[in-house]
Amino acid sequence: MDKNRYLVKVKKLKKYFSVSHNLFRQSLEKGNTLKAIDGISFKIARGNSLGLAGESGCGKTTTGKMLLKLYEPTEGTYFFNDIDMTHTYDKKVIKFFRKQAQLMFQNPFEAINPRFTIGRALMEPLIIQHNGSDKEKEDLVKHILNKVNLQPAKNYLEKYPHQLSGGQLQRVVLARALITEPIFLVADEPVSMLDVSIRAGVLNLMKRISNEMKLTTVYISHDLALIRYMCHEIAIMYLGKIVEKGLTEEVIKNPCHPYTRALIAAVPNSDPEIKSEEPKIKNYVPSPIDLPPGCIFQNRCPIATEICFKVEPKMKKINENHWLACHINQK
Amino acid sequence: MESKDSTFISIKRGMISMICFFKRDKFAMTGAIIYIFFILVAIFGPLFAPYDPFMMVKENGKLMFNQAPSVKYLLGTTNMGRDIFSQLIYGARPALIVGFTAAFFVMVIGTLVGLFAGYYRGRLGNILMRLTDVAFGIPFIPFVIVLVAFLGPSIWNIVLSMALLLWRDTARVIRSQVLTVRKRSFVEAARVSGASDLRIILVHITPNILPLSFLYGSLAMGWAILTEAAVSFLGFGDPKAISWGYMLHDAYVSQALSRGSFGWIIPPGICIMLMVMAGFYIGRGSEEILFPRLRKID
Amino acid sequence: MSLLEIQDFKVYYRSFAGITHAVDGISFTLEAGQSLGLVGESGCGKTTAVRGITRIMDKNAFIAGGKVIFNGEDLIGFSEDHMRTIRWKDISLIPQAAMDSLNPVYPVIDAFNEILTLKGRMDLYSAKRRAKELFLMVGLDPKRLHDYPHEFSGGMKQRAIIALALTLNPKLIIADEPVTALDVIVQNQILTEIKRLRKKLKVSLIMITHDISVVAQTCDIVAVMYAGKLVEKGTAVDILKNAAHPYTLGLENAFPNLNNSGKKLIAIGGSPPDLVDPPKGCRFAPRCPFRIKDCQQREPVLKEINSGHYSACIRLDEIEKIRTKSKEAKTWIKTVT
Repeated sequence: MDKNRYLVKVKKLKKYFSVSHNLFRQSLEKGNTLKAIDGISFKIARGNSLGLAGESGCGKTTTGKMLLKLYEPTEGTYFFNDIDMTHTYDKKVIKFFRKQAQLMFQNPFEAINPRFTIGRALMEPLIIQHNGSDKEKEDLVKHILNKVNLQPAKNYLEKYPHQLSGGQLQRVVLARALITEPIFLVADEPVSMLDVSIRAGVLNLMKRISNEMKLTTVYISHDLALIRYMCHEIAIMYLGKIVEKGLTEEVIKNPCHPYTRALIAAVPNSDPEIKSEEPKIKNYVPSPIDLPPGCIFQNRCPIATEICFKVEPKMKKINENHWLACHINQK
Repeated sequence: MESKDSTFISIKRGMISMICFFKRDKFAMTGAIIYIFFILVAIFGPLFAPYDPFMMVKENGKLMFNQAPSVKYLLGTTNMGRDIFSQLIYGARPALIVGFTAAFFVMVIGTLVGLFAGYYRGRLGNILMRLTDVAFGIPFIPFVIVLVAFLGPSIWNIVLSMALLLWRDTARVIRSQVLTVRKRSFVEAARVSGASDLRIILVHITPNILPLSFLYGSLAMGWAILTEAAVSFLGFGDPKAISWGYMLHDAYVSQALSRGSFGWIIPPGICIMLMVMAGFYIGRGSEEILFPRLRKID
Repeated sequence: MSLLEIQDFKVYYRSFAGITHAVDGISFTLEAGQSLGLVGESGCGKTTAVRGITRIMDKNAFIAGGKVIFNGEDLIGFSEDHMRTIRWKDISLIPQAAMDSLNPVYPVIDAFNEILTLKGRMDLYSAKRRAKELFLMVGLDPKRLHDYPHEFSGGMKQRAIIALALTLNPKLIIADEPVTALDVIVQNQILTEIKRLRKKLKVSLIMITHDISVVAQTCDIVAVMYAGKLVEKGTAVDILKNAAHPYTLGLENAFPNLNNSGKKLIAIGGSPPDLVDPPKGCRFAPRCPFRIKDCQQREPVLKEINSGHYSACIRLDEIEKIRTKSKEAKTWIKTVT
């Protein structure tokens, strides 16, 4: 049934921030709102993983925070588990939501209170959410440490964050996110601050645990290769809008939007005998405060035509698993 | 491993790191030694003081006023025949009472105001900050004098007036520290876990700003003692609690300087100076543990 | 005569725990116009090594041996004054996060003026002209020379930094993670720019990076460092297509590749060793799934497999077997913690 199939349903979500007068030389006369997210819609089926891809400033982190209700949307709706979470202020509902929806951070060294031991940091979500005895809580902490391969658990309970390596800390961050047995996990650049050889371990761990716990996940990353490895579906974001989305394999094999094509072309090929091509786009990213009408990609697009400068393209389905927001439908 | 424990454990840990830090920084060590010395004097001194500080000493029926320093009266006597050395010893008590209580209030009030002003940035934050501005606007010593004039010259009134105003620096600084800490990822993590605002403030943010509170507390001790001395010197002090400032006032009005009774003037001044200095040394030393260099991540 | 020849170069740190053997005897040669990619995990000593070459080191670091022969002369014997004449004129170093180190209170042109008037002995007028020339060379609008650093985007700042490095026409540029902080499209533009400039000006380049694909696209030769030692070196094709050291093979497994979707990522278990008391023999042995008893008895030396391709593994003769086995996930499982 469609009603229960999607855990997360986001419709025409917008988040605007007001920006006060600034001192940049190219100062802005009109418009003092930062449109971090400007009307995005997507659905995530239970157990699936969605990758939010895009460069810095595209709004993917803001989207992640909105999915966790760390921000309230300016417009649009957000349905979680068939409940309208858009403007709920009911404390009970929110508290239960916070048990079910968790977040993994980019910087493991900042994500844990430096004054807490690892054991204490892991206890914190349980103290807030769990109603069992202290012994039960302690057992859960040990259990989750084992699950993220930090064994033997008791060696880690009394350690402080600065005594662990980046990879170990990120596992603790993951453990903390999983300890309340959530059904939804948002991971914001979970491995970008880790060494290359450590990333693989953490990524594989996340994959395995997501499968075991049947988690619905959202990965936010600028690294397309990582999203391809971890995510079932992908949404490419640019300046607060989704320009293309669908099954990861489909979108990456057949990118249709000029921006997606540029992103993929820009990823350097690890085969030294195959030279990467230069992406065919021009100019620099405009400021998100003062955007002209029409398609947001207009001033960088190599194939923009007249309509692109006037009318904003709508998201259209181009085949079973592939949606595109572009006037020039290319296959 | 409960929520109350975390603050206690971090205080315990803070104390251990404090002891280590004292060992490393010679200035802070000196400050600590001076404080410990005066604390001991305040507690045990009166047992060893040769005379009661209020007692007008008579020898053979004759009032021993303005005596020069001798074996019997180590620093001499006042113009009313009171032993200066005993007064000096007893003077440690009001100094420390004022110092510690004022520091306590500064820490508690300043930290609370700073915490809530920094966390609740909207109306509550604004109100608290405007309150702080008012506190800044009121000149300190005149306010103390006015309050004492209304409520009477008691040492507790002096402490009260300090408690009403001295927290302003702490509040400002703590607030800006809270503004930074509340942006850090682990605070966001606490919110994602479902922590209430109060819990975030008390359990997550407070342990991270307590060192700054202690720093300002130790600085406040120095200021409080100095202020009490100033107020007493101006004659608004508590005559029933012989503080060093009061001794200076007494010396001044009996023209001790023109008589050359340096034993009366210099020792209280030196004691005040030592205590204030010690407070600043401790504060200065703790600045270094408060702002360690940022760790490199990669 | 090669442009730069490093022989058995050692840089150590004095620390509370003892002496950290951060760079423990590395050797490589760089010809004029070539680019070398220095690859390795954090803590392997690559930043320390290049700082040692340019003698911009922390107070507690010291050069413990070896030779750094630049244009025929050993830099190690040079006094600080002499090194100062070499820096920026012959060798430029772009440290990590250099773009954040542009002085925010001065317009960008001041950085150029400073270098050109002080080191280049130019007058202000010629300095301005040269700055404009450099900006055009890196694809920036010369009008923006008078802007402040915060008015530049990340990519623009990095281009400005590269322009600064080129100011006095050095023969060698050393760049420490020059594109790590940039978005992928900008990264591509900067790398293209670097390639173009290298061709035009015939500047040699040493690039430190952890991103194998960046190395693949930008560097002629590659040197892989681990725990202060070079474990493999050769051309980019050698290292990336015919890797001959378990560590290099492990690194390749750990890298998610956009062009190779079916590949499963395999992690190398464990962590780099303590460099105050490094393990006896091969430093990678504790984490290596192919280790034998000998690996932890004697120190492996770089042996030549093919012309220019060297590896420091004592089991080089079995390298084909090792290559095949390294592709299987189960080979690496026993090292995963």
